[in-house]
Amino acid sequence: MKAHLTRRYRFSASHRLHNQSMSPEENLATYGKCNNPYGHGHNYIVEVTVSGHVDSSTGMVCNLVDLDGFVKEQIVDRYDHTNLNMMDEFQKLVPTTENLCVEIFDRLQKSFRPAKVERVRIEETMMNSFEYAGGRELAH
Amino acid sequence: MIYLTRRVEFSASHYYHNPEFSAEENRRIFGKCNNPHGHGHNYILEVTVKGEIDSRSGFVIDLKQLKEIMNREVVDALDHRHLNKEVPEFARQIPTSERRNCIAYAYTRRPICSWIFTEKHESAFDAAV
Repeated sequence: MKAHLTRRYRFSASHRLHNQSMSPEENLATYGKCNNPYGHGHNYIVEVTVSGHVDSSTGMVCNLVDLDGFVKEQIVDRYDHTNLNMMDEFQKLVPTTENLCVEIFDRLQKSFRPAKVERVRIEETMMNSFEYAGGRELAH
Repeated sequence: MIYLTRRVEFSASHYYHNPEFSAEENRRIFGKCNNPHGHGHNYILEVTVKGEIDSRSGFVIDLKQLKEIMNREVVDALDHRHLNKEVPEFARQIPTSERRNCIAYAYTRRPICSWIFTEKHESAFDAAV
């Protein structure tokens, strides 16, 4: 029997949306107040969904301790209380939440082995959220 | 393919009444929602759009533009209104949550995956997709 498991995590970080190949005017027109030179921050909520067969002896898709430990080490500790623009992965990529969502999904999918990483959903604010499933279509 | 969901909130009043039904039928089918003086809800609208990330901006869509469209087409049109009496689309249609009064697709040029209206308090679990 296959089942899905979703776990929520949170971290806080700052970012500035700015593309060096655009003029100051184009940056302002594209990103508005998100282009503020000193940046701004969010409390990001990250939902990670994994899937797998329910183990007949444990009754679990994967051990939450393993998932929590992995996400903490790979994602939360990496990004919490940082400036995203300073990270290696955002030197050539604007740290929009779209790009952050893809980055987190790829990072988890690449190395998490106990279950299949299906989807990453990020709430940037109470009003906006982003979802990525490795490019797959999601049921909405 | 990436998905972006934006929420807005508005408040409005409405009642359910089909003039083709008798008074008894209206009461039987719509129950207290048929109260002729109407009743109100706080609604949450979630709009999900999908597309590829633009490599230059890093955006799937310009969120400012989506916000403006949702504010203009939904919030300005519906907030603090009586849906049956003040919203032309509902003059001849019952303003159930299932009726989608939304035209953002033409503006955003992105596929709209879902419009989810939730009546916030009375029926938070009855979202119409």
